[in-house]
Amino acid sequence: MSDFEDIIIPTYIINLKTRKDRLKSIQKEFEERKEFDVRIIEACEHEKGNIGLWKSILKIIRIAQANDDDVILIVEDDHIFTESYHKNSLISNMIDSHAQGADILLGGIGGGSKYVVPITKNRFWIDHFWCTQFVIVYKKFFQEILDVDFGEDDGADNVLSGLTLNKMVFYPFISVQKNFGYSDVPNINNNEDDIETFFKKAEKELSFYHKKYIEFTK
Amino acid sequence: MENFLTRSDILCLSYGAESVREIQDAIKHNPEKNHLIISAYSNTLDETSFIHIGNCIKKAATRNADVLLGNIEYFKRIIEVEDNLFCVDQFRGSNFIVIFKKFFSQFLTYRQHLSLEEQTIANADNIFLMYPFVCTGDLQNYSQSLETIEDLKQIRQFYHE
Repeated sequence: MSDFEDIIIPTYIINLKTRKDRLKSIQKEFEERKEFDVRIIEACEHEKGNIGLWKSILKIIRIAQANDDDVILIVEDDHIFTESYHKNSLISNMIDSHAQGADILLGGIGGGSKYVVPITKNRFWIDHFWCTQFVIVYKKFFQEILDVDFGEDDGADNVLSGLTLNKMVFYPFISVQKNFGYSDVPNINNNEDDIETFFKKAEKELSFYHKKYIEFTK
Repeated sequence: MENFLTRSDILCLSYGAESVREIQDAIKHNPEKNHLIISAYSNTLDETSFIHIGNCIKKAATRNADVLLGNIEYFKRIIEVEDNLFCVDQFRGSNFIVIFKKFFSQFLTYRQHLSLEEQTIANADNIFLMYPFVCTGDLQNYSQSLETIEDLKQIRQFYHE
């Protein structure tokens, strides 16, 4: 397999300037990973965390448009890589997803999907998702995001989910959210459960598709 | 493909708790059979249905099936395995089911008066579903699951073309 040495992914990390613990954590996640061109984006502050996050995403999309990026990775500062992350797999799946018409490719989700269609053994189409800590966005989807009429009670994950049918997620997850003991954005459906639990449950839900795909379709 | 099924191959019973003993008796009296077919109705099935059912039974048998459903009102997770054949985990509202020989001994452990579907979900590793559904009873009961399956088929087709 190619090492994709010439491919570097424009990576935009959202971080509130007051959250030094998260900044340190996320910088550690990306150090030594030369496949990412990392830029820290100062998060837009708002009394409602969901709106601040959405404004931060819009800020990134505008930068990406100005830079003429073909694809970008949006990362929240509580993302951590899992053991399933491999550079070559990430890039080859990004290329294949693009060829198949994906608008969004997610590193991992906290749940939210009711229907799933395995595209490959490691990449699934999903009808919906929760959490936006590791989102690959393709250029053709930039303007649609910018055109969204975002409501004050909307969540970025639900809005992005509803904006396109063409969304996929890695399985096993290559990204999950780390629990810092506090959240700047309302947790899933304002639920107080540990965010890490959501990811574990979501991955377990998807395991049926992986098992049966391997067993019956290969 | 040759049609190897006839109406007489179908045991007319509902797939409900009240039928556990009768199905167990049928298994005990037919241990040599490769499968048993249970259906609440069989008089609505035409020759095309029998050919379809026969083909699906053959496909499911090669994939180590425990049971094969002819229709369902609800499912939780589903994956298309090949044309006309899906694999499901949790389901509800089936009135046509094929029980394969490898699952006979497990079925004989079912407790009477408990939900037959819940016991199947708990005990069977490989639950398959034929598509199109076998049309028995009121098709309206299956409209939601049929619509979802058709959508999922299109999504799979779109990404695999």
